Amino acid sequence: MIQARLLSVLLCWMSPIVFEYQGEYQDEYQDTHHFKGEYQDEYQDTHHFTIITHHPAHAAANGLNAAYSDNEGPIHIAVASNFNAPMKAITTAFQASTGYQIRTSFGSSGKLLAQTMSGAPFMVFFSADQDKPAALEKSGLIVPGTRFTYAVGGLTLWSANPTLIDAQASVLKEGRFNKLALANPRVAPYGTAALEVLQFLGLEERTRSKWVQGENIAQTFQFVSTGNADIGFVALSQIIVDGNIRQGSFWQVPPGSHRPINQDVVLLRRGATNLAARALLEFVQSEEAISIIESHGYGHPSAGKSGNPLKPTPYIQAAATP
Amino acid sequence: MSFSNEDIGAIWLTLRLATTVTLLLLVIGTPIGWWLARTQSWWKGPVAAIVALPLVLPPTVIGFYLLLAMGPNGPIGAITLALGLGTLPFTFWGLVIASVFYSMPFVVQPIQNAIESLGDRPLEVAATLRAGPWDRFFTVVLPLAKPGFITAAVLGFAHTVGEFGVVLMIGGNIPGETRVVSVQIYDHVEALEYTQAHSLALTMVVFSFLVLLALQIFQRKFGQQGMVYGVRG
Repeated sequence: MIQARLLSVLLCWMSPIVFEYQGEYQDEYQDTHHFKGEYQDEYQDTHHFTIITHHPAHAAANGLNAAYSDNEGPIHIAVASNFNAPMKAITTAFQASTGYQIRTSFGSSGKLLAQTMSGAPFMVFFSADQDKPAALEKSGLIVPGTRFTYAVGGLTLWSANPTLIDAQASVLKEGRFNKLALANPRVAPYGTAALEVLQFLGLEERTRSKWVQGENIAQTFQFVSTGNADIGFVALSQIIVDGNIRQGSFWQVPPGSHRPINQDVVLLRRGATNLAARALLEFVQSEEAISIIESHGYGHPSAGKSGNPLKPTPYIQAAATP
Repeated sequence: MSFSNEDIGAIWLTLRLATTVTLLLLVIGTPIGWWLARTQSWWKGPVAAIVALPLVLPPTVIGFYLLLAMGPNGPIGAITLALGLGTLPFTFWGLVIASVFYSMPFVVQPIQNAIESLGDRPLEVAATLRAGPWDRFFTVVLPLAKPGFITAAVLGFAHTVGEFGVVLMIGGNIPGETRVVSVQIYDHVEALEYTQAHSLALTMVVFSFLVLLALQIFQRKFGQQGMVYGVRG
């Protein structure tokens, strides 16, 4: 009995939530056309029709994942759970405009990384940080040159109590709170950023005894939203619901008080020959996708403020800190 | 294989938690198990079902509701705040209460089974010899049902040691307070510190195996086949 329970706990822990999206092939002609355009140069260079076997990345992927290198059926991607909401909007838009199908597994970046290294069938990996894509790059599991920052996370101090946090965040500085929630700095990028902000403010040691740490930013948010922690460092994206600020009070952390929370994406070797995977990576950098990303409270490197991840979007400026 | 100070702290905390929970559960679980074993009441079914709930509910569900219920806006939180105790999440005693609920079936059911298997006869005989209810319990039931109690204690302890989901939801990962071994392993894995994760995880596997092996040997010795959780031999 115990064994069975341990096993089930382990399984629950290891498997991220899988969402399936059903799209339709709307424009098959476009796919074919796209294919010709993409590989024309290569065809001319090598004078071979069997493109796949002569591309170095393809050659590497070919033997391993013959089943995945065809372009039939949905592609499977891995996405850090903090990016859940924008990713759903992005994949919906992407599927509508291209007809490709996408299956998305959400999970913590650390678990998704471990699964990828153990042969999970992901073609694209949207991480919550830069370290894990870099680790995959080092292990030779990605297609070289495909790593880039798709979103920049914003950090904010938030309370479910509408009057608790003022414009100076005096509640934090004066220690007038029961608990301060933050994501675990050892495992979560938003936690690392929160720690840097506390160090920037010189409050790390003074507040440490009141820390409660979530295993990820979602859990951290839960601690604050249920009222168990008076205040907490949460993701800006979490307090924006349909373009409005969630009820409560918040304080934008000072610009430059922490390193940018850059979130990188990579094309995994499994997806090297897959047209849909490449098209998705292009789509993520499109105007349409960037506006989705920004509407969810994330910055984008194209905004040109690489030192300041907290590029305020218009509605944030409009909603003055209480 | 080496442990950091944090790992050792997590191990001690886990042992302290499991010991506290096991002792509390023996005190709470015995009357419940006794009542379930002897009663003819209509309430037996619903109470047994409630006791067994943690077996089927995902720990995240239990943890989530405990977080809400123990929070300042929840019913338990309202009581603890009124008593001047503050709120329970993120505290050692919060974990104790959550674990008592979570490990309850592992303690109650072996006790209940052991008492049921005694039957009425020994108690009736004791009663004819003028033994009062308490006397009957301590001099007849307890010695005869001892294997059931030992099984209950071992399973309650081991199950609390292995608890993860509930602690994760209400613990807040505070060193020395709520950061137990299972959470520490989880952190190691998430931080890609696989070597440290291995050390702790392997310790857990060996510990759990030895506990269950000891239980098997013990049961064979006492001829109590099938006294492991729920099923009577």
